Amino acid sequence: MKVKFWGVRGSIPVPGPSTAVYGGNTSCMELRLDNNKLIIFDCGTGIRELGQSLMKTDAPNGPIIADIFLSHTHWDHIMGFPFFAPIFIPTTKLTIHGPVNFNEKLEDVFLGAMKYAYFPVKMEEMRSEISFMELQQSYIIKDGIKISTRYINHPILTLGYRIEADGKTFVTVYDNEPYRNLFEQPEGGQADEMAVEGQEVIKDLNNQIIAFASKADLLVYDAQYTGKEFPSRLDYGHSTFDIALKIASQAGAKRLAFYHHEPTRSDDELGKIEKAFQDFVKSRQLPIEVFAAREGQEIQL
Amino acid sequence: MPEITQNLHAEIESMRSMPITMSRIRTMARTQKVPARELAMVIISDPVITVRLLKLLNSAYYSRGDKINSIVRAVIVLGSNTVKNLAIQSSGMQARNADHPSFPFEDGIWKHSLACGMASRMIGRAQKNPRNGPDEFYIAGLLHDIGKILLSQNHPKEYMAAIQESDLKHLPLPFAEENVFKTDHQKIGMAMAEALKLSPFIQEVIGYHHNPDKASAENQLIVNSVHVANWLCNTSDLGFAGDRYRYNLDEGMLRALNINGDILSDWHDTIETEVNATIKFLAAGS
Repeated sequence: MKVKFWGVRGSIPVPGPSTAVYGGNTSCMELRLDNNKLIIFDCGTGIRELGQSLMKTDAPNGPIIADIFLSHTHWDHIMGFPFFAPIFIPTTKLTIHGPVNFNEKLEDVFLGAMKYAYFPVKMEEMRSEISFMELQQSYIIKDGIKISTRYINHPILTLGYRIEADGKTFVTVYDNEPYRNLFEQPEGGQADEMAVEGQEVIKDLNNQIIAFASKADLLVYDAQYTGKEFPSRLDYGHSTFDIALKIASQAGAKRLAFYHHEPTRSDDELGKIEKAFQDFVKSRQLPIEVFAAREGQEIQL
Repeated sequence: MPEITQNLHAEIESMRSMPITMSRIRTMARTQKVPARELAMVIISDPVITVRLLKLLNSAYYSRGDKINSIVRAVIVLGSNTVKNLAIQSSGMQARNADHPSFPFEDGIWKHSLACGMASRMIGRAQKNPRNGPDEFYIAGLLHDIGKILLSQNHPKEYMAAIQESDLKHLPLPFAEENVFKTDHQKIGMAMAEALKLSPFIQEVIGYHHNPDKASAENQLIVNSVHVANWLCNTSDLGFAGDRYRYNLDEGMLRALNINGDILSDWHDTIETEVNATIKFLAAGS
């Protein structure tokens, strides 16, 4: 199993000299199984370059067939799709999986971003075969691959994925903010039944995330903010470097990729944070490898 | 009126939340950030919003495997904003119009539901290691008469006839309902709870609160608790359930629930105060 990062940035693409090292494209990852099966996570702007690459490596050898798993349908996770070159090849077959709200259809939400007013090629004019599969929290086995999904904490329904194949486990948990007790009394206030129940609920939910990431060979975790930035960004639906490391350690993950980088974070800043966390892990002799995901980086699991 | 059962989904759709909660929800809809506690309190003050929200939360779109029966859990899992939007959709804000006259005792049944939720929660607190949390005892009590709300809101004239028959002939209300509707509020409520895939304990409370001996062993405690809470609210005139013919309570059941008569009289005042505080809370933000 091999993972390649094609887009690592959160919220909005930020090309330019200050992001050239880690990359400015939004979320997209390629997962290749040992039998060369292609799975793609998210269709952020990073998928454009993935498409160019597939045209060179896969298209000459036969149809491009892939499953795409969307964490959710916010713009930064779908906006690259119209520029994914294989969708214009008639032999391409794509199945797009993702979560939706109760009153929406995945196809409508996804294609709503490709209306003629936004993009000149209509879905009907794309010559490839594209189908949609709505997902909830579930566990499925497809082509021998175990795929578990779990709702995570973001302003709209968002799924984390756990893929088990080739004897390895790959887990994604982004965009995600730790659950917190919204019923906590102000400081000094006595905890009432709502506050006590809220505390039990968040303990349970956060433990479920840890179990979901259990023993991952690679855990890709939301680390948009620093601990200092986090208090002013509550409810935005993202996590911090510290939280990512804490969850990964509790889950017993072997590798942790900090992901969904804050768009204003420069390469210099991100490099310093990455090094600080690597030094911390080394000094504590924690059995985990940590790094900030960068575009073009490949990880063999 | 066998068509009520046949048109169950349309009957459920026609149900409306209380004007005072709808008004509060209209205010919430215009507020960008509603505190979680305030949001939860508005939702659990209205049986119709609560039941619709539970239906949505336990639908395939939001289901997390286990049934969600707690509004606290729902707000934390889904976030205040999502729950607020679901509550707005669940409040049936468009449904109330001049063609749909309100039932004269609508307010009384609502206060009875609130009081029964509060009494059930108090009984739940008195139990040792119950299967259900205090919030679930409250929800069970709040929703126990949801079948009565459906019948009386959608068929006010016929429901008044059932109340009058019960009163004149000294019949238990379910018997009078059966004569008028060919069903009673327990049966139609249970059919509704099944259709909405509510948790089994809620289904049993709705279906058996007058006949707790029918409850399954695992839900016996909570059904008994709501049975007692319902009796307490009826005999103490906490709200009005339309039922003037009161049943006698099995004292053995009271003992089994660790309740004695003195405690019940104290609870009356506490519950009355809580109901009034809820009304004041809803009115203040409307």
